[in-house]
Amino acid sequence: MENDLIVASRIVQQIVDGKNIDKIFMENISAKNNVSLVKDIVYGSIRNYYLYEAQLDQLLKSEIKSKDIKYLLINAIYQLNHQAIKKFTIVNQNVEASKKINQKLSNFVNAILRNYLRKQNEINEVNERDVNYSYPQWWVDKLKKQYEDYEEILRVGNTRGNLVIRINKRKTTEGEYLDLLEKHNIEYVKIISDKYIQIQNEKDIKKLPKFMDGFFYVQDPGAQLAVNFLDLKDEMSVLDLCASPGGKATHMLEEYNINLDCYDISAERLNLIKDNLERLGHHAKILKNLELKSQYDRVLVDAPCSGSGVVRRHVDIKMMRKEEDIKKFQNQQLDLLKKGWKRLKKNGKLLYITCSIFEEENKQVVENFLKTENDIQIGDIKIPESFMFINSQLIPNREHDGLYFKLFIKN
Amino acid sequence: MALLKVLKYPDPRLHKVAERVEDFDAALIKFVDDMKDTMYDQKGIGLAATQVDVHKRIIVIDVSEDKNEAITLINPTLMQFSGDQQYDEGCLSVPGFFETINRHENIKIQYQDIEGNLKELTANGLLSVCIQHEMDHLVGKVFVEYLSQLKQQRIKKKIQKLLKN
Repeated sequence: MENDLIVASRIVQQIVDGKNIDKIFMENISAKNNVSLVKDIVYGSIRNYYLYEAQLDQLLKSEIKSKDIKYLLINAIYQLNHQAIKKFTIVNQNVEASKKINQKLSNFVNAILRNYLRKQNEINEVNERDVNYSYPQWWVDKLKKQYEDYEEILRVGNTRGNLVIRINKRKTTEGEYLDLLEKHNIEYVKIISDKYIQIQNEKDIKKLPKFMDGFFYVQDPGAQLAVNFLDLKDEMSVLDLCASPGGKATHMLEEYNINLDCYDISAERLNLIKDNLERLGHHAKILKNLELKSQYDRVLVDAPCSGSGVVRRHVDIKMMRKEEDIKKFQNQQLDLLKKGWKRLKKNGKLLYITCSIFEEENKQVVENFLKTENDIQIGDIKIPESFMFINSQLIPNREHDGLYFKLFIKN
Repeated sequence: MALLKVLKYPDPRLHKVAERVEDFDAALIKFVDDMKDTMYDQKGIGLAATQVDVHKRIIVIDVSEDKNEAITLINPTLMQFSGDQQYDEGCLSVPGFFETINRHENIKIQYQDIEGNLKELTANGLLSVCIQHEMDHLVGKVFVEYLSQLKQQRIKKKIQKLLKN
């Protein structure tokens, strides 16, 4: 128990320092740890990090020198707000943990947490309003400039992402799979006009029935829209330029009999596509190099981006991203669009996607792309009902992520 | 001489993306002349075809003091850019408003002249700003879109009021 709290505090510290969340987990967690408890604390704490940090600051007379203690306290504030355990148990467990970090500071930890409990209502009231929902200031400023209802978007980013699955039509049917879920006592609800299946009471996807048999793929409803927008037909040749981990690639192959080539700039991530293709039982060609001679009917550019539209799934993005990163992404996105365009046949269509809600990576990149070529025409996207779009931007809400879609036709 | 009607923001037609010019014929020459006349008549330093509701990739520019050095850019594409500069920009489609906008300092573009010959042009300073502003029009962007939502709303309302009176 104490050990789990210490590990969680070290992980949070490294995320705040800008390290990749998945790597840190692998490096810090051992077989002795209660993984789901550590994850709950880390994700919960990071999701509202700036809020808890500001609340802690109100209780301090001077800065805490020991970082391990600081992050232990921040995590404890998360626990006191969100975990269904007796408050004094949480305090005691954290005091015990602090003894292992630094015996001398355990009284201090005890005092701070008890003081927090006494003043909790007062402290919460002030900060929930002021700390702008736990985002870096530049992030808030960007959204404020762009969206009238930016506060709701920030709020959505602080919620937990839901688990939505796509049924693999080539292996089973929706009815058959829903029966399976019921047999395994797994609760689900149908969301967004009953089109998507959201799992309620299981977080570990490998425990869902027929995972290894590839009966389903975990994919957000927003991401599931991409295939409709690409206007595919059987027998077409298609290039997925940023294919990893293979969510959209496998979706295309489920819906159409196409010749699909998959590429990704990261060779390491190419293995993920292979695994997913294999698990779902699809076939596509994996390209090691991108050659110019091939020309395609359709090109998908699901470009690397800030991920600002999927923060509720990747809480570390808020800590990791720096404002300067956006420019780097812009350059990379434009470069990928140009690469894709060169490989597109005349009258072919290219779909550009990001999981960002910053217009710098979306509208601006599209405008810059339009300025570099002369044979681009904007294609129409038929926006399905029950999704909230502003122009080409899917606005994130509690049911789906925030994504951007733009279709181009080659004249 | 024929003057063309300039669309005023927030007309949705200003947000259409222009298509490539394929035919370099007499009709094009006539249209470009009309664009120049309209630009000079309205005391502008640049005009994009989008602004007169023709959605082709055509720009006319004249940043000279004596208004006798018009440039015609057809099918322009941005090849290189570097640096930053700020300039108080105005626009014939957004009458009465001037706002400071960030642009690239130096640009290099490729374009076709009125006969269809492929050419290149490097520009800095005001000419560079003006080319970038007009190229924005061809992709459906009006300069006020660089401003905050709040400012855009305010400008929209004021212009709509102005047009009513």
